[in-house]
Amino acid sequence: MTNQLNNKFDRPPQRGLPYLLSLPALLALIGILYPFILGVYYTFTNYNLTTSDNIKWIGLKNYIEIFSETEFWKALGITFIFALSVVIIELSLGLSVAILLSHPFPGVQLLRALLIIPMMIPPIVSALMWKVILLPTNQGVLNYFLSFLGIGPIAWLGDSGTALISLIIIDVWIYSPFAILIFIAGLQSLPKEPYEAARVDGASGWFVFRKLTLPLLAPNIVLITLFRLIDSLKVFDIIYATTKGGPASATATLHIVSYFEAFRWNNIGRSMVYLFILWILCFVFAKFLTKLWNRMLMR
Amino acid sequence: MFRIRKIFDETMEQDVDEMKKSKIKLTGILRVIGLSAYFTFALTPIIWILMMSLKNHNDVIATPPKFIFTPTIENYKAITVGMKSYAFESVRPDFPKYFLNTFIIASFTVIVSLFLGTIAAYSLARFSFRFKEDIAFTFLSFRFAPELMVILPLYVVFQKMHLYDTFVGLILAYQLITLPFLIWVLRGFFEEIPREIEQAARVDGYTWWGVFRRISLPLVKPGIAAVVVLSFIFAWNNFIFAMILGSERTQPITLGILGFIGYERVLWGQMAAATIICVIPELLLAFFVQKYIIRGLTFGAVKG
Repeated sequence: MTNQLNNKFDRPPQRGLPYLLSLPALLALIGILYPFILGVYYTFTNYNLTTSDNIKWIGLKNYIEIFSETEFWKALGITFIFALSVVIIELSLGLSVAILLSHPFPGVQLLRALLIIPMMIPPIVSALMWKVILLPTNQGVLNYFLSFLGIGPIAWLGDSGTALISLIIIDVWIYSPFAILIFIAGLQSLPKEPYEAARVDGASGWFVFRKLTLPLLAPNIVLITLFRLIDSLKVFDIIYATTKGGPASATATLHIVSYFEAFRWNNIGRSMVYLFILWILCFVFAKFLTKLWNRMLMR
Repeated sequence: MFRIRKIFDETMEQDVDEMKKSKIKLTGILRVIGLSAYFTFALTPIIWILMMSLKNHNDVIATPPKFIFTPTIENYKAITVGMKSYAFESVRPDFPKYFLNTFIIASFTVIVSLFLGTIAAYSLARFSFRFKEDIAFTFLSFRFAPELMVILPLYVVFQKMHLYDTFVGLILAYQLITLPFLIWVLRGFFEEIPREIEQAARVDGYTWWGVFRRISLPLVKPGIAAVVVLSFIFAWNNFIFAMILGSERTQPITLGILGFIGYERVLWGQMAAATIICVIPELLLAFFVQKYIIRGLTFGAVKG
């Protein structure tokens, strides 16, 4: 009976109506797909902003050129090092802080509310704030405090050895609250029964955490990984605001290189190759992780 | 013998109790240490920027950094009304313009998205039709695409169509940020309305439009409020769209703040003041919809 009703009401009053209603959605879709396809087309051309009237099809030349350059492989490596580091750190830091915040104590609500601040500030602004904190001499607060421990001063963003680490710190600052809040939500919806059973059996805390809590939180872990992995593969704002890919291209990720290919060297064709490859990476990981997540929800 | 055993057992129990108590105490201490460490990390930059915005130029560049200083509002004055401070001319009296630009772009973007997106979200939630999931999926995959992949070709198109550096152009482009987000998340809110309620209304003789307007829309009001606020914040925070597709005329606050730090001059104090002014409106808004932030940030995947 309900099924029949459902069918009856799901069927739109007029056949074309849903399409008409989702027209705005379709327009946005065209707004996404048209530039996208145009962009893929550009990868096969010599399109240059300075000679823009003369776009020539050059086949795979851009791809062959870029794959044979060490700059590309270096950028790919940096992109992955950055993305994997922030995902691992944010997952583990997120879970630890979430566990500390998941028990009730006075002030816990306030602390949880404070967590949204870094996420709501424009990332570019957060990066600038950190640029101040990480100033290379003792003028920077972090170096000043480290000087009491006899460390430094460290050039942080100005040194090719520490620039990427500095960016990882900034990213962790902005996005670990995202992981914390999702883990808190997950911890609060854990079923009680298995924990009581474990306590009756006298299982140790570590054992319960490893065999019970972690598997139960698996969907949350996948979800955080999905968002944080993809967003950090395509990181742009915080690098642009701080190092612009330097020093000595130590922080030049694929997205950053693509920007400079387009706006410093005017070469849209090459820039789009970088972007297309980055897009494929993001797409493959996103597809895999959304699938994994959906499968976990089904169970 | 029996008695002794009983006493022994009791003392054992006491020991266990004491162990438990000290264990709880220990975890309590560890919790305080852990949380203090994390929140020091999380809050120091914000407090530092706030302090910096209240310092005069000499205090800002002092080495080692100054923690005690006489607060001044000269940075705020310099960026809002313009003021000569030390050797530095009032450098960014155009900051109010950037603020206004951001406000115009973000507000209109959200209004357009809301008008276009609400019905689309309802339609995607309630009616079944072909290509529905394909539309939804393309939106989601755009969320996971590097922005430049779409904006760079769009830049070429905008140049040709004379939309480059215009408010109309930016508001159209910003739809790519807010519209998929709004449709996707609002769809989830509509799906949560029990079908029975809508069906009962249909049986009572309402048309689908009547059901939508009088039943469904009022029920998702909190959802709409949350989505509007979050879209506004996303539009406000955006940087890369405005940088590529706009220039001097439409420059928003995010680019304006970056402008305080150039090759010729580094105005940390004014940058800090601009940061505070930029961030306060959105933090106030964010606290209102705190409950929905995670839902919004995960494209509706985490309800709660």
